[in-house]
Amino acid sequence: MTESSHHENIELLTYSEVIDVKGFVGNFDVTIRMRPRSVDMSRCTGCGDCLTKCPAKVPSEADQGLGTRRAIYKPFSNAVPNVPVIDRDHCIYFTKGKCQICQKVCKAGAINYEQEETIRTEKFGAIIVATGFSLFDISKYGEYGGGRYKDVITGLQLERMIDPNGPTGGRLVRPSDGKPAKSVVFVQCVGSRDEVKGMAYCSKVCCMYTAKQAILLKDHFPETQSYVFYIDIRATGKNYEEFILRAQREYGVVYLRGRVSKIHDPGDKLEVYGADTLAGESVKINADLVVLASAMVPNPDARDLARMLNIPYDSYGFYSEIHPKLQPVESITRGMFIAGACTFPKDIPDSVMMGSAAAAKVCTLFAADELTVEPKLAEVAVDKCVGCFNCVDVCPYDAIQKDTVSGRNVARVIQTLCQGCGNCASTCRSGALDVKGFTDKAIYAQISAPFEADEEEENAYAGA
Amino acid sequence: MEIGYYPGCSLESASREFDISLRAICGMMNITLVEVPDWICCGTSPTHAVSQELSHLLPYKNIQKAEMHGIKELLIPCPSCLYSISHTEAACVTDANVRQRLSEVTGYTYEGGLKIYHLLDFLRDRVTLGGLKAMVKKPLEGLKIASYYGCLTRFFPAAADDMEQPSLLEQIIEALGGQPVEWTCKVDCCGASLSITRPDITKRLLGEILQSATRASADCIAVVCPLCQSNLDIRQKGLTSPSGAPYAIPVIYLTQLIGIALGARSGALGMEKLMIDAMPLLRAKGLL
Amino acid sequence: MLELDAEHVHNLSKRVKELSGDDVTHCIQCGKCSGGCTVAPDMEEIPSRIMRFIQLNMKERALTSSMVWTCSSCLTCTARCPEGIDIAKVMNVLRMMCLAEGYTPKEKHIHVFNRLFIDMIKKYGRVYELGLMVQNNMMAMTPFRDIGLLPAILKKRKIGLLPHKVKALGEVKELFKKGQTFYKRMKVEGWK
Ligand SMILES: Cc1cc2nc3c(=O)[nH]c(=O)nc-3n(C[C@H](O)[C@H](O)[C@H](O)COP(=O)(O)OP(=O)(O)OC[C@H]3O[C@@H](n4cnc5c(N)ncnc54)[C@H](O)[C@@H]3O)c2cc1C
Ligand code: SF4
Ligand code: SF4
Ligand code: SF4
Repeated sequence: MTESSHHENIELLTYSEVIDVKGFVGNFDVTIRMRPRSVDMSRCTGCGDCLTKCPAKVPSEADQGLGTRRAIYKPFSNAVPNVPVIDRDHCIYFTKGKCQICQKVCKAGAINYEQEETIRTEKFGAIIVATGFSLFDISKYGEYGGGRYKDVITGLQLERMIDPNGPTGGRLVRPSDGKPAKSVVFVQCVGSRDEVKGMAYCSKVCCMYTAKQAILLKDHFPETQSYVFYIDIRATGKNYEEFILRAQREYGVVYLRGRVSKIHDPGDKLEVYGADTLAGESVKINADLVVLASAMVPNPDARDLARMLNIPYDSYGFYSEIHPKLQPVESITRGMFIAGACTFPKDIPDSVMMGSAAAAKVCTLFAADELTVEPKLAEVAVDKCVGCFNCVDVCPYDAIQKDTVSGRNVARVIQTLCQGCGNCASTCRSGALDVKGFTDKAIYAQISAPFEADEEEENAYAGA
Repeated sequence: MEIGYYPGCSLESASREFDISLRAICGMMNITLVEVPDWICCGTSPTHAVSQELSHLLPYKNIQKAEMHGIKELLIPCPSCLYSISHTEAACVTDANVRQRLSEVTGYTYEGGLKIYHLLDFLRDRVTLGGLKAMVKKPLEGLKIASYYGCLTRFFPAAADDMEQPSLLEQIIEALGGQPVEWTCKVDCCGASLSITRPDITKRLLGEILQSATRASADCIAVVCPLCQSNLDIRQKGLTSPSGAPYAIPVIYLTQLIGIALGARSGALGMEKLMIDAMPLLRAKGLL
Repeated sequence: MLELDAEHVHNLSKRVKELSGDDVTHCIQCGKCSGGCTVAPDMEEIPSRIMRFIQLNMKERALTSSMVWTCSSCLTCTARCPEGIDIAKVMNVLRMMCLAEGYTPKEKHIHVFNRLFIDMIKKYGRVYELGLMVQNNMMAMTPFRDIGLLPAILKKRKIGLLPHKVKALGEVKELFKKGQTFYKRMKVEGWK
């Protein structure tokens, strides 16, 4: 991250969001909303004085609610850029009109409450979408407490907890009473592989990160005992299976083949009820901490973003590639690439691979002077077009624009956008639109050909 | 308000106080219970284990009797009866095979449209929590109550908010001024159906439930199921906590608690029929 | 040893599906049903294993298992199965198949209790708890079980001494006659 922020060819736009995309490959007009940071990037030295003095405390998003941040904050300790932002919804000055403590403590005079949102529109040649994933909402699992048992946490919360810079300073504790956690139960597939309450798919990464977490726990806190309830272990990467075996053999992690059915929280130790289908027994474990491997799911706004960018998505909301094997990082919209967990749950190696592939694809695209396109493109017979523009509405790729030719309104096809689907051709009532190579005339000819042949053949037989 | 009423075998015998207290509070709330005339046993789990046909026929006959008596809305306080009857009602609406066969055997065709209520739904949707609260004369102040749904209630709209962590019973207890406790066993099965055939299992289950209620410092357990009540009440004797102390937690029907809060005399609520006497507790809390 | 052959391997799961509507081949053997099962801690087999027996056409094991017969029909498993299988209903179907196919359940006394219960409905139209308890104890050869509870129960007049009879008993008898018990009808196609 830090490296890319210093690269001469990279401009990192943080605290900003793409709100509109027009145009086509090589010519995207992208509108970006730059939200007001309320801190002047050019003045801020990143000293962090403001971060400790701000009196407004808010649950920290990055720490998954386990810790707090201030209203002026950096999302996490090594965030890029090293400049804080004021969360105006929680800032006392913005909500109540009084405070301005950060302004007083900032020696660089970087605080600027007057900053306003700016909108900028720029041209880009290609777009890579790598918006990642969200975590499944565990409140659907009432049997696991549905988020109300304090000592039942998600895998991501545990990641934060074991981070030395995290909310507990790297100590493994029960959020309920701050006491050290000794017996830890991991529950796999929470929201994954569950057609009734969650997602039918396997989230792919949780088996591995759970093993990683169990190993880390034993490494850092030798007195802990971890148990992992799993349905089956998905460890299909390089050295992955060996890693799981290490967790079991070297770190004494007890793997139980079964799903947890319910967790009771009587106030002291959690009672975890599950089964081990290999032993054919139901199992009860008293635990200090339970870690749920909640499923990786698409972001809540994934569909809206896809519609804006004009890229297709599957029934879950993951972005679809043109071809899962041969064109895995290309979306159907030319010049628009997809990478990482926004396409499906994947781990870091796979995400990096996709990101690199997408970047390479963009380089290839930009390196060529000309674009090769499929020959089957829509074409407007300008003399027949009456300018009703029904075609504009039906084109899924926004490939048809309104144009004027000698004072007449007519449709024009942007060849780089058109995918030759033929929607426009079948919609056009004046017969002005045709797909090259698939003209109405040619199709009719194909349909009638067999019948004509039949007639000829019949005649032939009749003559014989 | 008038509402059809199917008491079922338990409310007629071992759980008479459920029936008595229900009738008493309905009287106080100006609700007329119209009993299904000459109702028969719904068949409950034993028929489900022996004959699918019979398990539909017995409930169907009751639906028939209710409809012929002009009943459009039916309150079934026993969750087990409710499960059988609403199961058949739903099957008639969704499965043409079942409907046809049942009308063949009984000579009567059910067209759908009977609204069936669990006690909790009924209180929420028809009496309303606000309405109930307004009628309270003696709030159940200081009474710590473990709300026990049992295993079947979660399948009805009563628990629609969250099958595993329902809250309606707690909301009702709060409306009565009582204090619901957080405890762990509210939707666990008490094993009533095994109390005769496998008492060892039932004992284990009761132990877990009573221990959980005790840990939560509940004064009593509120129930909405006659089988849960009998099981927890009759078989509590002789059970001890892990520390060896005998359990004596009153197991009180929600309808009785409502009656007390509405100011009914304990005699009118069948309180004396509870095996574990609830009177000392209620007296100590100044509720009698 | 379990021997599988292509011709029969799906027999049991197909039959269960016909009777219950539940496709047990969908079971992913996650064990969630077993983890929360009310009776599993006291059983030799756990519910997920019964589902496995069905998947592998292990008929006798599936039909006669104590687990199947002891199931309390609490539906906890059904509420949590990630595949939406109504396991409790499958248990009921297995019990019916067990009787229909002439197997002897391991927990015979539970079946005896069910029969007594149903006979009582047949006789009186309603269930008469005292009679049920006494009769069950006689049949189970444990005449004095629960006897200690009786005096108190009777004193509180919780259980009636005499059965309640419904008026239209003829109708009830008719139901029993016309709606033949399931295992006689099982051979008749079409009825679920
Ligand atoms: C608990 C847990 C532990 C894990 N441990 C490991 C591990 O040990 N090893 C491993 O290989 N993998 C691990 N993973 C998987 C790893 O997190 C993912 O593979 C990886 O994060 C995917 O990277 P990504 O860049 O595609 O998505 P993300 O990491 O989700 O990044 C997407 C980014 O896009 C931003 N964004 C989203 N929408 C927009 C928008 N509209 N505009 C601008 N920005 C936007 C988001 O804020 C985010 O910063 C773990 C996952 C979890 C849940
Ligand atoms: S990766 Fe493992 S834990 Fe995660 S959903 Fe798949 S099987 Fe379950
Ligand atoms: S819960 Fe469902 S899928 Fe899981 S083992 Fe039981 S029946 Fe199979
Ligand atoms: S319904 Fe039967 S199998 Fe299912 S959890 Fe209850 S006792 Fe166990």
